[in-house]
Amino acid sequence: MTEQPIRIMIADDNEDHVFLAVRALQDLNGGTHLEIQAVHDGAEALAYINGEGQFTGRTLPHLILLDIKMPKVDGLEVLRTLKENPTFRVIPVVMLSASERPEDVDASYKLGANSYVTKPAGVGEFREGIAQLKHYWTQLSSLPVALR
Amino acid sequence: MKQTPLVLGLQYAEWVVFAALAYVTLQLWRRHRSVAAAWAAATFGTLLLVVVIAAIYGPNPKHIPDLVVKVLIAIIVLFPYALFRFAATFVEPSTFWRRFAGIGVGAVLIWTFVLPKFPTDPAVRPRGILLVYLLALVVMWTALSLPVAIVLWLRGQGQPTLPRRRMRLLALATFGINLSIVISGAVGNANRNVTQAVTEVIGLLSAIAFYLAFAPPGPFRAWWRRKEEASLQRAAVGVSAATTLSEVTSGLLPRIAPLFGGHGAALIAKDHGVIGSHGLDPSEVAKIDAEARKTTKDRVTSEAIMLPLRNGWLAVSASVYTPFFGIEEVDLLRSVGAFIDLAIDRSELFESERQARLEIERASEELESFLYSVSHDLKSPLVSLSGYIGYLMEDYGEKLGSDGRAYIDRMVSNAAYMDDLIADLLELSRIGRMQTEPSDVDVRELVDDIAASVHTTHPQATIEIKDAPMLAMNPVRARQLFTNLIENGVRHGGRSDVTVSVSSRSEPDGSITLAVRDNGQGIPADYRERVFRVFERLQPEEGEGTGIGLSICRKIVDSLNGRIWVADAPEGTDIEIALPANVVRARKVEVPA
Repeated sequence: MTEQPIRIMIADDNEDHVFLAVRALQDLNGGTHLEIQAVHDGAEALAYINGEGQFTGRTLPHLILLDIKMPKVDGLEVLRTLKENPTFRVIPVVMLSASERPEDVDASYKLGANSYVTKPAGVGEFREGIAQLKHYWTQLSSLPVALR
Repeated sequence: MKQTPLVLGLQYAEWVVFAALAYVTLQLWRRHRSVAAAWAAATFGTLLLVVVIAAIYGPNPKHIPDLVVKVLIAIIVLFPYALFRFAATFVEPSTFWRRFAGIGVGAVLIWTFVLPKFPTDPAVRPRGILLVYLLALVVMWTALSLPVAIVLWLRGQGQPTLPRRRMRLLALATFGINLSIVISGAVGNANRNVTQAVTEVIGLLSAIAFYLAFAPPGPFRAWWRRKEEASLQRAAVGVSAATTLSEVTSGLLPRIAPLFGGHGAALIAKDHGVIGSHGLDPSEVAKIDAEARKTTKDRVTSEAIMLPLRNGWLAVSASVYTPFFGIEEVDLLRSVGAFIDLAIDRSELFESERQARLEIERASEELESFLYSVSHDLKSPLVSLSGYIGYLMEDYGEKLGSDGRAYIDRMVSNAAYMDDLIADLLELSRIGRMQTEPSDVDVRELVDDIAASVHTTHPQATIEIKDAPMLAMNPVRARQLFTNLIENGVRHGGRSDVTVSVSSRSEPDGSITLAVRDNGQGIPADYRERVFRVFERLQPEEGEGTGIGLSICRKIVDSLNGRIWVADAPEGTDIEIALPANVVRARKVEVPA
């Protein structure tokens, strides 16, 4: 493992989901150093990525967990913007949604999503899901490195 | 010199035909009241006068008074003029021809009365001034009638068969009459009998041709229009399968238009606007539309044939010849009118059905979209709840003690139930629409499994399985079905020691009737159908159950082409499910090892 921390951005308007996801990511820290940035709507997600306003001087995340149903700008719109940008398109994006609406699944992949995960509602399942996601993306996969 | 019997016979026949012609043209005029019909009636009505007078003096022409002779000749002079005026109502003649006709006829008429005396003896050969007069008369006749014959013949081109035949017969008749005048004028007394016989034959044929042109008898009409009729029938059959109005118009109008000699046709809607048109430019359509709306009966103008239908009007563009020669074509059009009405009715029915179906599909899509949205919004807090319950257990499980952990367990199972409920809501919208491959479901195992689960919450309840089949169905649906039915019995039985029994009865045709019975308080007869509706509960205050259960059951059973109902029972509730043979599987015989 490299010394460089892995930066993960979570965009979700549900504070509880953010809390649970962050805890799940941190709890199951298999020796990887994580930097987690949470934003609460699509507009904030785009501002962060673009380094606008309070996010001036930000460093780009290596992985983005993106909720679909968000106020202001929804997850699909954020995804579209990211994947249309030559710099940002290399960042893997995992769509997270409470429902597995087939239209949302298809639209996400069409727009270039790297994965689509339905938030499980059973006790302990959400944590397990996040743990698997983390394992997959931080242990099994190689994330893009040349991001600033 | 006496006339031969042949000539006499021909003459009489000719008179009869001319008398008939006078009658039919007068009738035509009475019906049409058009200028063309007036000239036709004038032509043959006055000719009848000649025939009558000639008949009166027939046996002894020498005794006809000179003035009467002159009047008769004047009528003969006027004959081609009247025909010329008749034809002029269709084709505007040039100024030269109009002047020539007026002046020529006027001059010959004056000349007729100025001449001293006409020889009434057929044996006397005309000479001198009389010969010149006769020549002028023949020239004038030819100059007026030949163009009429040519124009009618040529303009017949492009007309439907019936009007074309009528116009061309009229052209031939005009030519024939002229020919007989020329022959009798030119040949004179040489071979008098032969000449007379020839002219009488030509005259008779012309008279018959005139008659057929003005009043073709039924069989002739039927024969002449058979091509158009067959074509119309084909068009009508062609639209019999039409399911949209545009199919009706595109299948019919292009075929109808040429049959009536017009260049286009339109189907005009009853309320406003045009259902469809063919071959007409927008201004023509607007004109026909406005014109047809004034029409309550069939109407033929030189612009269009208009036929009122139950569902609007059918209009076919016409020609100047249509009102006179093609008026009977309305009959032909009427023969398909009823058919068009039916086609419109049917396509409108299809259309409303299509609309209704679209409406249902739209509503169904909306419902599905709503359910997804609801499921998302319900699921979000559930994800949080479950997440926190998990951490509560992990972080504080030890401190909670056994009661606390038991509560947590209930929370866990309730969270799971709520997850199922949300899934159920989605299922309800999916059952029947989404087909899944059936697999074998052992109802005995299933009921035992459900019983174990039910006992944790209702320990005093008894769940029995008497006789259970194997079913071929989606296992998730099977679990939904029996869980809902058994839990209903346990929850709503009104007693904690309720017994729910599941049994089945095979029918001779291979189908099966399952019964889920309990010894609880039962369902009042009035509510036995209502309980299958969504969110319908008998005891709302009780708060248990979702109110979706039996709706899901019914939808599941419906999707298997089965039937579910609340049967009469001496005690408790008896829910019966009839399932067709294809859902029933033979139970595997278990051989002990």
